[in-house]
Amino acid sequence: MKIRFLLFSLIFFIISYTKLFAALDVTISQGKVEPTPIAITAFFGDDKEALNSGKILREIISNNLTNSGLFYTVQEDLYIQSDNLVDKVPRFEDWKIIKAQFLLAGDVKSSADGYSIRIRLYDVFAGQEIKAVKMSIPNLDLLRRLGHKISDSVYERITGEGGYFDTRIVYISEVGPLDKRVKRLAIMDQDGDPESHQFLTNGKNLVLTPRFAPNNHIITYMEYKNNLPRVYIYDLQTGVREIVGDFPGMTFAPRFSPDSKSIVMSFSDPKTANTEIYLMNLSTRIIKRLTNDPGIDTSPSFSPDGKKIVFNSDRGGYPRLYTMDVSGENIRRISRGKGSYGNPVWSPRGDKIAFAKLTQGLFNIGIMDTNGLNERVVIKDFALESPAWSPNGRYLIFHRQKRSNENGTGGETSIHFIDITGYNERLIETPRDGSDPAWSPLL
Amino acid sequence: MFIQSIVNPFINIKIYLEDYFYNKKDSTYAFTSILAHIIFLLPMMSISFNKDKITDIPLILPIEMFIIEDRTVAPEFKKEINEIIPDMVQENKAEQEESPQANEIKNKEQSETLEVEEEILADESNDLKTDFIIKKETKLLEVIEKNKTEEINDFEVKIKEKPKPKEILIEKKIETVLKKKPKKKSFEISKVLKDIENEQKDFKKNQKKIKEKQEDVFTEQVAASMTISEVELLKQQLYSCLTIPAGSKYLQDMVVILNIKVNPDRTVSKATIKDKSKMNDPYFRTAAESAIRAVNHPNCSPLLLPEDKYDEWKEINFTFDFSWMFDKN
Repeated sequence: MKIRFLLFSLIFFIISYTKLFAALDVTISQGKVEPTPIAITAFFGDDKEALNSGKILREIISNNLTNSGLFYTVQEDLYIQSDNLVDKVPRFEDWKIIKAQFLLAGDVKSSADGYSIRIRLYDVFAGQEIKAVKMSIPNLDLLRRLGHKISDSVYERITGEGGYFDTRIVYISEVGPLDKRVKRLAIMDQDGDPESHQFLTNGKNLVLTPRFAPNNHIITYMEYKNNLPRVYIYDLQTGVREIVGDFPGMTFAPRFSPDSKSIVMSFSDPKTANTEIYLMNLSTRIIKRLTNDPGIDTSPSFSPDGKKIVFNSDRGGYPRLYTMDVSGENIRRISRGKGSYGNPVWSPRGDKIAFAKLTQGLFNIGIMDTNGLNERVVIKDFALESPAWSPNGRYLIFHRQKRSNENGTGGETSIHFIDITGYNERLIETPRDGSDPAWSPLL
Repeated sequence: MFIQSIVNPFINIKIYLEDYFYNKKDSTYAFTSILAHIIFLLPMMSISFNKDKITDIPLILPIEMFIIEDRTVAPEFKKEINEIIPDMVQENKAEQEESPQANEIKNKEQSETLEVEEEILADESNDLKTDFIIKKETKLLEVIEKNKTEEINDFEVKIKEKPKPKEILIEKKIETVLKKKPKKKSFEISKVLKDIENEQKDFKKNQKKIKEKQEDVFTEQVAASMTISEVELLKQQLYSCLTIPAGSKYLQDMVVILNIKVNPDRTVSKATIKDKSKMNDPYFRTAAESAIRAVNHPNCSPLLLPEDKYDEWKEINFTFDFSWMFDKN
């Protein structure tokens, strides 16, 4: 009996007192969405050329990170410590004062083999190094790409996502009045650097809808030759162009499969005037029809695993989005909202589908889950078209057209990209008007 | 005997005393029983102290709710509350003063304050640039103008009749302000991702959600031993330090539990992620690192904690629930 007494009181005692010494539980369910401040020290160098290269590198990295909308560079004149922090542990307190959450330090060394660059990234609040990189280039022609590579590694380490800075954008360069528009295929770096800009076609024929192959070497696009639209492929390494397939009617809206071996596109049969989706193997040239419906089926886009295709069809009366297996079976409608849907593109991350939508006379660009749920319009304007994904699935690139005037002026087009959160829209500057942009995979 | 001892300690004591006096040999029995009673009484006393604190909470609650709103809701709300309060004060003054001269001065004062209000609202409209909000502002101004005209007409009977309509009008104002609140909030804080199309449809949904959130907050904090206001203050501080990695994949399903040890000077001495095995996933790592950065942020050091309750906050489990930051359809 004594023992029971003691036991009971002891248990009671423990229960009542443990509560007093337990940890406090607090749930945090809000925060801010704003760019993270990062400090980038001046890049040190052995000689004048190395110093100058370091300066350019710093500028490229700073611009890239700022353009991503996720970072901003803390002003250099606020920095307290001015040592080369690649060889020395930083005084984190000095960087905390200026509220830099991250610190990037680097130096450039020139040698007979070229230039080597060392980079260290620090988490200031945690007081530790989180990334160290060493890269080298044979000559300074590759300096810009090096800057993009460093930006990518910083971006990847902090956000946990793949980078997108060392990429190119292929687009249609436009010039002239609206009724006599000269459209040329052009390519440039993702930041629109004028030196990287290059025209790929001469503008004789109208070109539209360029798309990169996942292997980064080939572009597929549509070109009007003798007033007949045909799908072409363009090899960026050799400069060779060729027509894809010998179709009797017009072929358009081409897109590569994830393995770059096939092209999926629309073909409009002149006999039946019906548009269906076809898959063509580029090596064997075998063509397979995927859809069979009296409605217009177009704008096909592969899922990154290559198992599914999202496309646009008006089989239900209005243009809506559908998915199907790569065999053409298992067709399901995914778009649920009102309006005319078009231009669906599967995200490289695989989790979302981007689309353009026309409602109440305005164009919307939005994203939805792959089953059509959680549809969200990211941007809305008078004319927005042809959304395409950044290689990390984080940004959408699209073109915007201004209203045209009665006298044929106006109607300028420009290329923009926006974070899928709906914030941070940025203009990518092009020498002339730009439309139909497509983002390359990482180089 | 055993059951009795639990049910009624007083009877128990009586029996022990009887035992003690009539059979002194059984002294060990008495000793253990007294010891047991002390052990019983101590925790009961400590619980009763805690209970006292909890019973105080409802009294604090209505006052504290305003502070919470001030901090969680957009700055507009704060301004409007400030605008309402001066009105009320002036009305009370007017009731005390009876001379017509004083009334004239009062009217002048009011017209001045109205001008000031218009200026503030105009400033806001410049910031926001949306038709929707401008419409509401004009409504507010209408209510204020009604106020003014009624005061002038009913000057003589003011002392008896005035307070009632005034109160109703003020309530109306607050209603309009509350209706405005969800839009701003949903746009800026709870709704991390933009959804242009559905923004205008979601007032009622958001109102419900905010209510649910407030209820959750209430239940959570009653369970903790710190007061609501103390925990809320800590939360508000953390909100300002947490940068959400918005747009990151799977963020809407991410929950990061962070255990922190706090020094007596209220600075964080150690922060550890509970589920370290997940750190190999780059998306989880990003979310977890942003949580760690939040507790290490200079704006959150020292943490806003009551100095006299060190035992209660020397260890804190922060649950960063990113799913609440998204407006799921």
